[in-house]
Amino acid sequence: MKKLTLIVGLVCSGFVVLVALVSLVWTPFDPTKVSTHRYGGLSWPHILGTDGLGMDTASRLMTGAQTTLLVGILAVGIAAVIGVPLGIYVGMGHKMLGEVVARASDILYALPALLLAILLAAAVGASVMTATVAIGIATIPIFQRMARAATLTVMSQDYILAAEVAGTPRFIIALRHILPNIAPLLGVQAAASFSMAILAEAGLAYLGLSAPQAVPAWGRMLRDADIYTAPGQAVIPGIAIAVAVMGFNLLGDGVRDYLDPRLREVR
Amino acid sequence: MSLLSITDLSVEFGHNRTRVLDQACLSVEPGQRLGLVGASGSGKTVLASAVMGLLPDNAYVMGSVVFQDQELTTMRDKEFSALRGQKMSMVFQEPMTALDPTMKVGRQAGELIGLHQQTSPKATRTRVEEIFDQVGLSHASRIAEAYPHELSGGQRQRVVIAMALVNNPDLIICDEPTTALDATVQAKVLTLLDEELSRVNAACLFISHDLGLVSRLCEDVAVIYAGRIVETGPTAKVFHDPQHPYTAGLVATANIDAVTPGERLPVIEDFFDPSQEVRS
Repeated sequence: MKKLTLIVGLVCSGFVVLVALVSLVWTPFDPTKVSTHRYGGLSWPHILGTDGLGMDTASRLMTGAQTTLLVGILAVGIAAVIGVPLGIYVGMGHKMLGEVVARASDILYALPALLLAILLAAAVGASVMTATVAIGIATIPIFQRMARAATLTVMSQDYILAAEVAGTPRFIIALRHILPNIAPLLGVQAAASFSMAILAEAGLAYLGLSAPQAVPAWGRMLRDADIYTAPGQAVIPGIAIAVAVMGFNLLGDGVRDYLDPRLREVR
Repeated sequence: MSLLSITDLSVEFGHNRTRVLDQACLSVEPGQRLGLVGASGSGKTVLASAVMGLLPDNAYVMGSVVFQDQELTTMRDKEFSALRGQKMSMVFQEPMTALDPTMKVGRQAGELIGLHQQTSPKATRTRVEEIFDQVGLSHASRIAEAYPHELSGGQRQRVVIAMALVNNPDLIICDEPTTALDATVQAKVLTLLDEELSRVNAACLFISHDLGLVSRLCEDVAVIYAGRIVETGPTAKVFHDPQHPYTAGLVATANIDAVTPGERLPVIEDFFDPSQEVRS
């Protein structure tokens, strides 16, 4: 049962990655080429039909996988690169700063990604990048809290005390002893946040706060689909988003079960 | 000149200044082994932590701790870091948690060398295998490549002892180093500690609640009760002719063999009334 989660997760997320890679070298049509063949149904050579501007849906779907992965990687990257060091630093002591960071995290946590995205879009214009940065910033508190909590647990272990007794500088302790010990937890969180970021970006794109129409992105395709004339055009990217989100979520769960510290010893 | 001399060391915690160590005086000569015995909560570990500079931020330290002519209580972190692991080291109680589970034990031990000396990776490796060999870990090169969970409790504690010895310190503080081990392994580890201390001629502050262990390993002993050191002297003398009633109680309660079957076992309170001690 546990293995099934991991396998389904791997297959779904692996498929998205594979499609994105293939789209780098080959798509059936140019994903941004406008044609007169508007709202074409499922037919050869446009196997998934065409959208309102006559662009090939299959090609856009494939290229859209790139956008999706980019959004996930960048958003999680921003959140982890800022949140994790901050969490470890605060978790290793520094009571005053710890309070400040904790409250700042609370404030940021209360601010939804949507609001941040609207602010950013208003300030610098809507694009995939502004949406991604907004999602990344909104995810920082999650990583900061998790890293802090995990660091606190690790700090109470004797091997940290032993390292301190041996005169190890704090920075080295953080890098060599704390980070490797909290990495499994962070990895699982990264997978979960990855799927959340994908979903959030799709939502923002649907609201017109992310990709412009020319850029192939799943959320944008959902927005541009006319559900009366060509309902399939909304269903197809919808399925793609569902597969990607479910895939990375299950991958995270599967990895967590696999790395469960209670099972670690017997593995 | 003593290697370590503790004078009137008091430690208090928190806002209401709970005193957990009260004007403790101790001295350890170079190469001397001093046992520190007392019940749980008597302040043994706090004393060791004060010497190692490991007390939490909410602790107030008064008095003085002089190690090799250097005052430790006022020493800055940076200088203290250079001293710890180099001149003084520590053996921990729980070998399970004293080793980082994500790091090969050879690398962990090697890291300690690298912190205090400039050596090549190869020389570090050789030194690690040499010290592992000395503490009786057979196939030292294979053990060095193992993660802590792949070793037995006894092996782990040998690694911990090897790590304490690796920089040839002048003082080793052992905080109940054999408590977590079973009786046979305990005996072996104690013998090892005995041999290694003699070999490198390091002084040792051996913290324990087991009087048997202390009398086997240490020539001198200090008895601590409720944060106060109540008696100090040569181990044989203190245990055979205890001057303080608390020590007498400790010795009698540890010596169960002397009780004739059917008789009530002695308790500390037979010898010593804590309420009177607090008032005095």
